[in-house]
Amino acid sequence: MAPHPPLGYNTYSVRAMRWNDLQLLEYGSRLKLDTVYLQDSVDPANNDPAHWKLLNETAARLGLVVHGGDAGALPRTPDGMDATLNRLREGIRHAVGMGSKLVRFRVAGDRASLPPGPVEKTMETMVNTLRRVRTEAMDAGVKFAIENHKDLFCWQTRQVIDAAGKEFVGSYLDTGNPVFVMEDPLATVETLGPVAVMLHLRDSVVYETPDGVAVQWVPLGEGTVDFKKIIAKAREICPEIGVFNKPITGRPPQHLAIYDPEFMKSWPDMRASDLARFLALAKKGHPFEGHMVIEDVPGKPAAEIAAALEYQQRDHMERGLEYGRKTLDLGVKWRNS
Amino acid sequence: MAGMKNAGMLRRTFLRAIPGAVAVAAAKGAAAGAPIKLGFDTYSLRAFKWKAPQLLDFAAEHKLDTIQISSLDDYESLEPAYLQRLKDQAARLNIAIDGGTGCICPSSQSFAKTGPPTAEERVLQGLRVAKAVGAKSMRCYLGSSRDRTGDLPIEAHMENTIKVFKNVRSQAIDLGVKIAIENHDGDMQAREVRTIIEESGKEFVGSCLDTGNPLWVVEDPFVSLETLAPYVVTTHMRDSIVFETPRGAAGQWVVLGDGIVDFAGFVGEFRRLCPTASMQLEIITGRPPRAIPYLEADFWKAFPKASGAEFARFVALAKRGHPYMGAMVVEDVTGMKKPEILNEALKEQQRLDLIRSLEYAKQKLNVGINWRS
Repeated sequence: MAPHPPLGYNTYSVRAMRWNDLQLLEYGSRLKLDTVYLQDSVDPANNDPAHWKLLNETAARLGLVVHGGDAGALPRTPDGMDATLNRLREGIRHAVGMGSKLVRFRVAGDRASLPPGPVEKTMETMVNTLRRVRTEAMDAGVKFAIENHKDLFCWQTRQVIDAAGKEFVGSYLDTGNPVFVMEDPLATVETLGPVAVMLHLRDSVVYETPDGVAVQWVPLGEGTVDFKKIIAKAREICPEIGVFNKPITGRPPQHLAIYDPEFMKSWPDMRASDLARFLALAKKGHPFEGHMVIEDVPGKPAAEIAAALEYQQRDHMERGLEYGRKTLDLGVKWRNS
Repeated sequence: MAGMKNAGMLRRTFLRAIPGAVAVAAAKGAAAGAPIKLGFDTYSLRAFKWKAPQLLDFAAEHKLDTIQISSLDDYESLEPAYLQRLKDQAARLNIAIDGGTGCICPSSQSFAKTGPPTAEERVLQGLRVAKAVGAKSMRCYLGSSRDRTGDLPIEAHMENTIKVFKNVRSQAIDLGVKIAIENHDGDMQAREVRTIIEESGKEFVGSCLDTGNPLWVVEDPFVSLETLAPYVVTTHMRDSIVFETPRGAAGQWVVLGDGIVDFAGFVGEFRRLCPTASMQLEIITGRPPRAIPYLEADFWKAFPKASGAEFARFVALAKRGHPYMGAMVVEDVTGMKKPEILNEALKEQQRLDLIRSLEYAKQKLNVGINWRS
């Protein structure tokens, strides 16, 4: 990765603003960013090829590199496979239309949402699914970016990418999700960094509780994870990729009851050495002692609280970008202003 | 606690989730006994900057029996005619007022620079206002946790407080209003508050039992209740989360029912031991977890005489706890300048969290009288 890789933001982080795609690009431009990752767009024109063209032109005018194809996740049952393949193909068209080289794809939302059966079987299905659209992706010059969500361990995601083919599949490397699979994010970067096609930064507090570990996402630079080490490792092993700030704050801590055998039944494939490394991280951590509007939970909040959450999403985005520039020395465009 | 895991949902679903008659029947089964007056401490709604008449109206709207007007700043005026109108308003609404003022220890770091010059005058001012609005008690406090680590030992502040109380004894007795000293913001353990009450004279000094502040003095709220029960005249009831951390523990206040204090058990004991005291909810949410670093030697400089047996009960409580997993606008941070949008969210949270706590007290703890009719 370049010493000063392009710095951008993931639009999911400001979802409460309900901005359309053009507003999101303009926001990125105002922040003097180099790149924008459009994720989970709420723009009514999201599926309109004319809109994709407009995005491409707007991004060029604003001097932004924009990415944003999305193909969802694997189906839970085989009868959903045709729809999944259609989404993958549509994702390619979408990416090409807006000038993106990447299409996001996931195995599942989390471990509980994985298709029934052994994890190895799901990984095999993932590989086979990707290979069925290999030609279309290669012809379009687009890569599938597999996000390490809360589903697989990083070494499993790496196996999927290697088995499918690195020429058209890479890692959407996320540093926030690993703590939910009891993985040190630095280990994730070490494993997925060489095949990463983009890097999304999200910090977490991780700390021990009497019967396990609690995790919570926090603004970049305010958590337990050492991002100076993360970026140093990324500079060492990642290809030339963009780095995106992707805070998801406002959610309560989640407890991982690792000393409860029932809880651990969902993780039979976890390696002891990985868990030990995660525990070492947790021993360094403590609960988040800063202030935060913790209201990103199901249900409709009061108007005043929803407004506070909106404000916070922007505030945490901009705080994290400042940390990315000043402490992690990321980004290009801001240096010229 | 079942409440912990889904606390984020509760604010938004609580009122819809409990069919009234079913909940009342369940609550009666869980905590039957003598009726307890239910109300709130006005500090719970501080962001609204309402004055006493509005606060009384809020209490009436929620069919409460009592209110603790805990600060003289809650009054628009201290003129007798105004206070008489308040007394009349409260009588019309069938709401009993508990009075209150602030710090009354002249050596405490919390002793305000403004106000009557002597501590005795401050106590008497509070007592007279309380009397004028028909209150039978007046809450006040010594100071805060800073008074345990300052130049003077806490015992010196306690002696100064006792002296102040003794100096106003005859006037307090004549006014017929009891001084209710609160275990406040980490200033004293319950046994120290009891010492002040007994040394001053239990005939005119009692306890404003706060169930949230014991955390900061490594005390299980049940220990506070057991120690102060004979003297409790009014309360600040508040639930808490406590959980172990590498430095010891951390504590955070939460909505009544969302914490790890067994409030059904607590109210059962309160009903038995303090049958005439009112249950004033003082809900203070929005603050981040506060470290209680009892595994560090320096921490104990503030508590050289603390009881090991009582501390063990606190540790047992912390061992049962987890960090708070629910939703909360955690923006009530001392000294932090906030944008208006966050102040508005905090304000709305104060209202919602007080209402949810009152509902919990009524429906789950079977507390309160007026709401039944």
